[in-house]
Amino acid sequence: MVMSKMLHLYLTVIMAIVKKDFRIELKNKEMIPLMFIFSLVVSLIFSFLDISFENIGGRNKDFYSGVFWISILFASILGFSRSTMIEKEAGGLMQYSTVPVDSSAVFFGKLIPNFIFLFLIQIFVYLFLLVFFRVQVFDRYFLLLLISSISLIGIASVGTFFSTLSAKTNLREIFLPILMFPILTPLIIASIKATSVLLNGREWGEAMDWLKLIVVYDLVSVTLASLLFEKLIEE
Amino acid sequence: MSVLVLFIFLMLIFSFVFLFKIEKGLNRWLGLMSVGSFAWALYSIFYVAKLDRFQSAPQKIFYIHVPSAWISFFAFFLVFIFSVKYLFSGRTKDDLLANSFAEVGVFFNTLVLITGPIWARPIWGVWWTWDARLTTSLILWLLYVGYLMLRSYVDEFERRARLSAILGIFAFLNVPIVHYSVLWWRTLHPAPVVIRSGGMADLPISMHIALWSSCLSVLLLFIFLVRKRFNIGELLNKF
Repeated sequence: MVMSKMLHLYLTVIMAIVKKDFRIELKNKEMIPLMFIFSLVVSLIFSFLDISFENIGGRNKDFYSGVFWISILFASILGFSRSTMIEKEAGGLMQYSTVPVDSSAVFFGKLIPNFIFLFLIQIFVYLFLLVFFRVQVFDRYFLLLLISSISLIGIASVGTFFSTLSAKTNLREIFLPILMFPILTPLIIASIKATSVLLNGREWGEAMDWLKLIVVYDLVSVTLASLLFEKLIEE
Repeated sequence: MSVLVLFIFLMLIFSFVFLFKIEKGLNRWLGLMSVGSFAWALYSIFYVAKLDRFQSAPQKIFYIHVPSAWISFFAFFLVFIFSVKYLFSGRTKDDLLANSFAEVGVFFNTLVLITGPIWARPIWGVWWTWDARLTTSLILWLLYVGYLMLRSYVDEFERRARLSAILGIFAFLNVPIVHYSVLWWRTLHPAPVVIRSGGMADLPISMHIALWSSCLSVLLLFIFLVRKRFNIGELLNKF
């Protein structure tokens, strides 16, 4: 009885934070446009590179898988640091240490909106691949979306965790990429490999090993981040 | 050549006298032993150990490269241990120790990243390649430089200790995943030749002498540096 009450409270806290983030987004209309434009700019820069190599729509699609993940990664940096800065300016980060349940609820409450924003952005970035680079993403659109969404969980959890951490330093959000990129290396390698298997039209079974690595990374990062989050937000 | 030997000899004498003058207690003996064993290690590297049949002289750098790599991994492991300890105990000492291990570990890891390319250029023909072990050491270096940067960007003591302990744990537990991911990605580095799963490899005894004396001197230097860094940290903390 007590357990179910605690669980209910836990879920209420998560839902409250998720709702708050969506309400801020609906009101300001800031993060999704920002991430959208930024990923567009990054894709555009890479298309210049592609034109100079005269490789548009070339046979090997490894390059486009890289473009996809770099755009996502750079856009995510902006998104994470912006959402954490909004919290910090309003004094929200300080209030979180007073939630009546385990602090991991706060982490999951922040993780879910960050993940959903990234999920929306990746749909667009696949369209950029189609338009700018003539990559036939629609052949396996759902499989691509599925695999990249699984690794977006890892990016969102590491991003949520380290943007909160860097918000507490003097450098604030500028410090985020320095911490986040090295930590994300395994995930990025695995995601680029898995996506390029699909983009090249090879059997999707070849991506299985990389997918396993992505899942392991997700599990480790979500577990670690939710366990350490309590120490992170305490003042 | 003999000028170089003379120069190194003078440097060793100088550091011997210098350490004897400025250090006291255990640190003095650690420093002196470290310099002494380093002198012996240099001698055994160049005069005792046989030349490698295939790699000839460039192989000698392995006697510095390998001990530094081992000790830096060990240092990062200790950062992890003391970070966990700090989060549970909250004692200042654990945090200062974790910081000392991280700094000295970064120093040795930098040595690894400098000596590696010097060896790789004549043997592989390139300074750098994206092999698993190279990539892992570079990412380790980036992670722990990030750790040290994090410490310098937080002013308040308690918060600095807590944040860096969190990063110390997160970074270390990430290392195995980094290693396996880049291992599957590509591998070129020579397989370990000293310790294999089937026990000691068949290196000639003269090479073992050179390697283990170099290990001893690196270990002594490591303990000496960590103790110095810890003392400095304690003094800084006091004022």
